[in-house]
Amino acid sequence: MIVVAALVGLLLWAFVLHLSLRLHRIPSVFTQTFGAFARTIAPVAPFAAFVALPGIQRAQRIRTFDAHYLAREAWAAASTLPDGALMTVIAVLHPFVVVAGIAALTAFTAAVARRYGAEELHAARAVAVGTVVGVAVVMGVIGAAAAVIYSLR
Amino acid sequence: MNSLVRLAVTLMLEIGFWTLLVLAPIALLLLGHWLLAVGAVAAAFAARALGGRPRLAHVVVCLLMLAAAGYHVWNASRTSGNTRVLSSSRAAAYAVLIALVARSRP
Repeated sequence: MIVVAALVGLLLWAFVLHLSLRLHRIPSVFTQTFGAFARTIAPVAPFAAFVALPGIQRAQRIRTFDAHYLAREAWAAASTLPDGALMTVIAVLHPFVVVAGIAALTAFTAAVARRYGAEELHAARAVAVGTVVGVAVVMGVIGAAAAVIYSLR
Repeated sequence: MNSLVRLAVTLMLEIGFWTLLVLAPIALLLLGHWLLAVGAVAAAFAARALGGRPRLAHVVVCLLMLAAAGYHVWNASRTSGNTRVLSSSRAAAYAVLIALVARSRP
């Protein structure tokens, strides 16, 4: 299930990035943008999925949509980790995976600017919009799908 | 390398701008904290304004990361177990980032 969610997330995020590039008048072609995005994200994605596991585990226990509760849960998930050997590995890896993610996004921005002949600052603005909206869309779609699946069980 | 780090700083400021703009209505409508919402919008436009001033942006980003690293060092000193490991690791990652950003001063 997590693999399917990751693939759908990758496709959705790449599509939102493509739309954002188009909105910023950068002549993006979806297949090329998706290819460049997949190539730059691929080395980081398995590690990102690994360090996201405690958060996913914690999110599965949520049974309410109260905004204050969700905000507290999000803060707790971001700042605390349970004990255990595997969690220690995640605790050490987590910040460096985030840094690698930033590096991958930067490489993607530089690749997009080069491929479509756009200014780097302009491409950075487009990628930033695409990333924020893309992550929100991916989390919304996957969260809604998970809520439906769990309510059917 | 230096140009990539500068691009990363610009990208992070832009992502910060849009994230804060998305979070502001959530803070206002769902959490009811209007002060938090106004603060988020003000911080968002400050981040956007910094994007046009690379030298100032580098100093401010370095100071923010220094503050974040300080928070994690403090957090590591008052917690235990894996939460302490996580905070220590984050402080180390911030130290690496500060070194990278400071070296690539425009």
